[in-house]
Amino acid sequence: MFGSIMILSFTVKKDKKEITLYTSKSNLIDNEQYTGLEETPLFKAQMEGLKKQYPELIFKTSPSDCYNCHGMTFASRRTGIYDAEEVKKILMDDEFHEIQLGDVLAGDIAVWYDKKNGDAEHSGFVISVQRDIQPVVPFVISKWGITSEVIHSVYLTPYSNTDIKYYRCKL
Amino acid sequence: MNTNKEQLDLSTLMKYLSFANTPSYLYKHYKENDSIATLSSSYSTDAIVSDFMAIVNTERRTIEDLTLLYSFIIALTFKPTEQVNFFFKQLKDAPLRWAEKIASIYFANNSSEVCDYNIVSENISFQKDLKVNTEIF
Repeated sequence: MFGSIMILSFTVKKDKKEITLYTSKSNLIDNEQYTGLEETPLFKAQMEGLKKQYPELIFKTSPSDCYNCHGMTFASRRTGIYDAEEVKKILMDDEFHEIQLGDVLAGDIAVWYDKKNGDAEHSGFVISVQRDIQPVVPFVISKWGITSEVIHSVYLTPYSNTDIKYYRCKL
Repeated sequence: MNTNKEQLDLSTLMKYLSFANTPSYLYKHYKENDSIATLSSSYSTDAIVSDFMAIVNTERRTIEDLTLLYSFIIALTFKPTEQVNFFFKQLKDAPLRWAEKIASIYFANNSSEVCDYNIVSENISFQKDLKVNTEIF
């Protein structure tokens, strides 16, 4: 292999579908809309398995690859935002200020950061806060990849090894 | 297919793909998955690239197809840099949703080796008997 150059021949056209999306400071947000998710029997079985595994969760929508969690949180479900750097840009430009767990209210957002590289792995909207236990437990609605929008405790997600931070927009 | 997909833990890998909101999440979890590392050590770079190309050039892909494609890409990250740099350099043009971003992550994680590769590439380009395969697959 080494010593020869192999040219990869892609016969299928690369086609990026995006919408024009700006932060409040008029900076473009990189985004992409995917379509054509084929729900194979194995995928359907996995979704059903997930619902059985977590009966306390509410799976609100059908799977969709048109938008992801960041697309739901920051782009009104119109598209997907897949680059953690874009999330940083949005938080800065749209004046999201970090708030402490005890001060979290419905309408704030939660962002899950990878503990190793600091990437924003996941995000969602806080919809309620359980305050009869300490520390308080926020509940959010968030989209888990191409699967459903899910209503869940911030501590019950597939996004492990993460630090959760909460933000409120102060535009 | 050259590789045996039964070697892959497809169920777990499909879950990671289903839950991934970012390419870096997918990269991290696939890189940590033993079945991908095993696949990488069981087959040659050529065999894995060949199987990747066979699927990436199909118009309609299922989630299982996508799972296999990303598994092949991550399997190649375990190979020596000089064997796979050609692949990751061209991956940005692949008709696959996160190909470009995953290639960027690969190069970010292998930056020092990329410099070495570039130097080697320049040397190779001066060899008159250089074999350039334009239609491998």
